[in-house]
Formats: sequence, C-alpha cells, structure tokens
Amino acid sequence: MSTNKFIETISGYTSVSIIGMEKNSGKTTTLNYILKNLKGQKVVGLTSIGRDGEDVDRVTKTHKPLIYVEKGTIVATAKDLLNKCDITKEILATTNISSPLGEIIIIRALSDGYVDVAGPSFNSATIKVRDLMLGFGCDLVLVDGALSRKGSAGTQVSKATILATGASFSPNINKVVEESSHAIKMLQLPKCQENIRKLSKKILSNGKIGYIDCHNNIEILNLETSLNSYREIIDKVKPEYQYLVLGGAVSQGLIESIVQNRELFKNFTIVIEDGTKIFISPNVYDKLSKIPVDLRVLDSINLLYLTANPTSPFGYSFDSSKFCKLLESSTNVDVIDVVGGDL
Amino acid sequence: MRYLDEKNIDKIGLRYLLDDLTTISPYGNIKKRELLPIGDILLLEKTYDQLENFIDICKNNSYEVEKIELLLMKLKDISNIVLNLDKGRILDEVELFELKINVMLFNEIRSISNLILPLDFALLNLKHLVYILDPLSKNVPTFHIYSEYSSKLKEIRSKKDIIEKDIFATSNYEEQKKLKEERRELVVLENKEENEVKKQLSNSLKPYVKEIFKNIETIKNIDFTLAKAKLSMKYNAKRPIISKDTIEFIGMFNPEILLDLEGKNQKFQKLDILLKKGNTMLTGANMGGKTVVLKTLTLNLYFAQLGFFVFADFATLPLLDFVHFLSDDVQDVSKGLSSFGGEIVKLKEITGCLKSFNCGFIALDEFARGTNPTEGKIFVKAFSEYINKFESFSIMATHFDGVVGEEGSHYQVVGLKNIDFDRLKRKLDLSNKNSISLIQQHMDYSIEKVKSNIEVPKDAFNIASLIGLDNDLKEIINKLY
Repeated sequence: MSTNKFIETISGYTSVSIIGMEKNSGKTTTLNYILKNLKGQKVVGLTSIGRDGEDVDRVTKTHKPLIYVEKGTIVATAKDLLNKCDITKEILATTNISSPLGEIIIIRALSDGYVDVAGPSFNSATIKVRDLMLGFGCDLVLVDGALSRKGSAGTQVSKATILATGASFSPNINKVVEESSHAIKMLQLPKCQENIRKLSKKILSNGKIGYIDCHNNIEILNLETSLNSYREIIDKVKPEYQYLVLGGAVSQGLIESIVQNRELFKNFTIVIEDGTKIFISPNVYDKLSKIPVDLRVLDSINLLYLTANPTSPFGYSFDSSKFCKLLESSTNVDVIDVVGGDL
Repeated sequence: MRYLDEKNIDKIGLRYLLDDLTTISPYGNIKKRELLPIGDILLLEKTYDQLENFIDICKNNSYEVEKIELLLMKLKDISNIVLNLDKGRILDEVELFELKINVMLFNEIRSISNLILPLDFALLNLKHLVYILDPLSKNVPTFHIYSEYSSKLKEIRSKKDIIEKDIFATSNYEEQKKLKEERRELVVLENKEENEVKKQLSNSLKPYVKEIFKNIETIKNIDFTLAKAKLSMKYNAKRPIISKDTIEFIGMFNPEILLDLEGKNQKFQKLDILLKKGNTMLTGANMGGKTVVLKTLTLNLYFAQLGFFVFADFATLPLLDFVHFLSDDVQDVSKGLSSFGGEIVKLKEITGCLKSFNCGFIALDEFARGTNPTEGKIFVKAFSEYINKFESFSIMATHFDGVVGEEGSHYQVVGLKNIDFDRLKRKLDLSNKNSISLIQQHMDYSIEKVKSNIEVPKDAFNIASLIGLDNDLKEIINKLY
C-alpha cells in the first residue's frame, strides 16, 4: 500500500476519525504520519474526543509523541491547554462547550509547532466543533478518538474511519493480529435490511432494548441498558421473535448468556447501533455465529485503513514487514506502516 | 416578604408571562432574573414613557430593530473579564479575544441603536478600545498577539519562521532534532515577549473599564425594554394611569387563561372592576370564576408595579408597597400546618405589611373556608372591617352569607343567574355531552356591582344536579333546603 494512495484516499473526505485498538496503539503516530504527508496540500482541522496527547501517558507512564502541525492548521482544544501549544495562535472562536480543562477554543496556527489537543467528549459537541472548523476553511477535519478505545468512531462524527493497531497492544504478534482482525470484523458488520432498520430506529427512539417478531411487531423492554440485564432480556424472548435490537454498549456477558440459551435464539438476528458498541472476544463471536445468530448494525462504519505501528513504547518491536503481511492476510482492509512508511 | 412568593407567581400566571418575555442577550437575561417592583412614581412613569417609546420604534423601525436583535444574539457576558481588568489582572488571549469581539458588537449595535433609540439608551463609542485590540484595523472577529505590538516579538517570530521552514524542508531526523531544539529556545523567548505584550495591553485597556460597564448596562436596558415592547404588542397591553385613590380596570384579561381557553375554543370574558380603598367583596356561583378574577386582578396590578403595561383596555392603579395573594392552599404539611393554620400564618405577614407600609393590595380567595362556617364568617367580617382602617385595597372572594356590611362595595359573578335551569337540564339530558363543558358554556363569567347587602347566590344545588347527583341523595338535600 503506498503512502500516496493512502493520502489521496483520505483527502477525499471532509472528516476522518482515527481510533485505536488500545492505548498506545499508535493513534498519535498515525495522526502525525497523516499530517506529515498532507503538509502543504490541505488545510487540516484537528480535534479529539476528550483528552489525548499527554506528554507522558497518565495510565501507562510511557512517553507519548506530540502532534506537530503546520502553519494554517485549525485546532479545537480546551482553554487550559492553549499554553501547551507552542504555535503562534490566532483565536478564531469560543464555543460555549465546556470540558474539564476549560471551554473548547478554536485556534489557527500562525506558525508551525506542537499542539496539545483535548476536544469535547460528547458526539453532538464534536459535530459542532467539526462544522465550525469546516466553516473556518478546513479541507479535512481529523478527529482523534482518544481513550475510549473504539467508542468514538460513531458514524455521525466523521465520514470515514482509520483504525490504529500496534505492537503496544501485546508482545505476542499473533494475538495483535487476531484481535485487530476481529475488531475490523466488528467495525465492518453488515447493515440490516431497511425495514428492520426502520423498526429498530423506532425501538431506539422509545427505549433501549426491544424485539421484533416475524410479523414486524415490536416489543420494547423497559430497560435502561442491556448491561447486567441479561436475565430480563432472555426471559422476554418468544418463539415468534426474530430480531433482538440492542441500543448502547453490548457486553460480552450478554452475548455469553445468549450463547448459553442458544435454543431460544436459533436463527435470530441481533441488531446493534454500530460496530464500536460491541465488546466481545473472537471466541464468543465464533460461538454466536454457530447458533446461528446473525449480528447486524444500523449504521456501518466506513473503515478506510488499518495503520500499524510495529514499535512499542514498552521497548520491544515487531518486524515491520512480517507484521504488516500478517495483518493484510487476516483482513480485507489495506494496511499502512506509519513508522516505516511505504510497504 | 412584601410581594408575591414564587408559588403565587406561578399561580396568577406571571411565570407564564415571564417565560414569554424573550430577552436575547445574556445581559437581558440577567435583568429579567433580577426583576423587582419599581417602587417610585417618577421612575415608574419614566419606565412607562420608555416602553411607549420602544413600542413606537418597534412598529416604525422594525428593520433596524431586527438588526439590533441579531447582534444582541451574538453577545457573550464579558462582565467577569472586565472585572478582572479592573482588578489589574493580566488578560489572556482568549479573554482579549472575547473583549474584542464583544466590544466590536457593541459598536455595531451602537451604529444602529443610537440613531433610533432615545438618549437614555445611547451607547458610548469604544472605537479606541477596538483599535488597541485591532492594531491593523482589519476589523475581523479574531485575535492574536499581533507582531505589531512589539518589534522584539516581530524579530523573534521571523527567526522562528525561518527555522520552521528549515524543519519543513529537511527529512533528516538528526538535522530536524537539532533545528527543533533551536526552535524551542525561540518559543521560550516568544512566550516571554507575548506575556509582556499582554501585560501592556491589559494596562492600556484598564482606563476603559467604566465605559465598558456603562455600555453593558445600556445594552441590558435595550434588550430588556425591547422584549417588554414585544410582549406589550403581542397582547395589546395598555399603559395604566397611576392614581392614589382607585383601582379600575375595563376589559381586563389574563393572557395565560385566555390562551388556554382559546385552545379549547372558548372565550375569556373580559372583566370590568372598580375598587375603592378598603375591602371589596366578591361572591358568586360555584364554577363562576371568582378565583380567575382574583388571579387576573393580582397579575395586572403586580405586572404594572414591575414597569410593564397591563392587559386591559383601560386601567387606573396606584403605586403599591406590597402585594399579597392569600388562598387556602398555603398549607405547609412539613411545618405541621393545616390549611387554616397556614392562612393565619400568612395573615400575620399581611397585617404586618398593612401596619408598616402605606398602600398595598391583598387578594383573599375564600379566606377561612377551612374552618367551621360560623367562626369562618366572623373572621371574614372582622378582616373586612379591619382593613377599612388602612389606605390599602383588598378583594375577598367568599361563599359566606351575611358578611357584606352596609357600606362596603360588593361584586358578584353573574354565573347562572340568568339561566333557566330546567331548560339547561333538559338540554343536558338530550345532548349527552360532557356536562362540565356545557355548564362552562352557559356560565356568565362577567362580574357586576351589586347592592352591598344582597344575598350570596345559592347555586350549589343547581350546579350539583346539573353535573349529576344520585336521585335519592338529591331528594334528601331538597327536603333539607
């Protein structure tokens, strides 16, 4: 996969999210790689979901790379971090969106330099900030997906998504490859049929969890979330039901309970909002498929690339070409080595 | 407390009107939250003059008003920034930015408002201040520490720019690292000089603090008075005449109840009422709207004290030192009070006000109905005699018979007085319609002045049988009458 083609592809969008498999999976490295390669071509807007890009990662105490931006870049970040951005700053707008680090401010870089980005942490605010930046003349807004793993790739925030994976996820190269290909599988889960999509939306606008039967009747369960309500969900299933609609996050525990009650769910389809909302292991997914239960999403995510960072901040690294080859052979997504460059 | 509490503000329909009062800027919203009775005749008349003036302006200069409103919408509250400046603090870039764009907005508003608004609402010209924050006179709503502020800063930045270009051009990692280290040293210098500039800027802005605050105050009044004018126009409210001796309303209404009735395809019967000092009795049938009369009257009287026009075709009213609304739902179970107990606690407050202030208004809705009628009657009679000694006004809705003295004034809700009950009953039996709404349709909600010692109408039996009473029960009641 060539860098040129990679850059060309993402240049075709007005907004792209970068999400990571885990902490330290190389999101910032990916971001810097994109910025470096877009240099002089595009006016880039930069924000994140919540706090990211600490000098030293607060969870793992490893050194995190800073983001170096070009003159003209537009950045949305919290007020308290402005003094950590060493660019010459022009204040473009204040947004009335508050964050733990102060109001989100939109600035333009009047010089090259380092920035520290902490954008808003909820989707509607991210969308507002994205649109403001586009209004100030950005060609492409990059949204850094921050800590919450994949939870921020939601289809509303950006038009396309890049998944970052890397050696930091595990020292076992096979495990990294297996987990990454599983994550991609989840992100690329197929969309459900249009009529089911409509019925599911109806369920989600009136509640969180519901069933659809073979005659397209719906039953909405009186539950706030599917987490820790496995019994209630499973007890409600009736023979004529065909679809289970789950709003919000879907945990491994619920899917395991369904697997244990496989007789009740034969030939079912489970509909979830999108591939970032499900947190199950490859093993459990495999068991679910064998019942058989079909897993579908309301909105599919436009996953453009998998970026690979073969070096880990913990001091070890994989052989780059081996790592990329393994990743490529286990997924249908193009892989980019953001450290070594072209393959 | 001298004026209505939160609960009564809700009850009489004032909250509804305040929600309908649409201030646009954060400053107007503050003014709305701090709303209090004006309490001075000259000031009240001046407020009315201004409101009258603004209504004319809204009608004749709607284009300009709309433009002002669009600008008001963009304002942010910069009071804290200005306070910081006043205290001698150094403003950061974001504060300087907010100050700049808001003062630019003030100037923009000024360019329109000073042409059409009266002199009391004239904004000061702050263009010198804007110039400090816009040294290149670019008139764009962004801000940065411009290189023009300091030649030293300019020099550091151009050095930095050269290094950044070199960093951009090289792909050699070691070379880049070296250049970035050089850049870092310049960044430190740039920061230091920027801080120096911020300090100087804050110092040179400080002398304008008074003028900025003056403009904030004016904007507050412009926004608030515009909202008042819009509200007055919406309901065709009228300027009341201030007079010490009487309360008089012709064609009075209550917007909340009016719109509520309109929603049900019914009409609000506008009210005419004249109150002399001392007590006025209000009697009438059940469901006849006595409470609505009290609410509407209290609302209009209090609204006028706040500097608003009133909802009537004509109104005369005095400046009031206190306004109270007493009803038996004041009971506070948590304080262990029954409804009667609650009324007496409130009554203590009212007699306190009567003794300490000159002229006030009290509405009492079926005072003492929670206790036994024999004693209740005595309380009502006593209070109406008591209040006549003061310069205040009160109106009392009651069911009690024989409480109206010879000399006191007395209003009665017309109610079903002019209705043929038997015919209405037959109509009800035939139509099978909801009896309540039919009664409401035939009820005459207007009030009329009656001879003071006229008997309280005995409509309870009629109304109850219209709504529907068990026949056996009806027979017994009939016997007892």
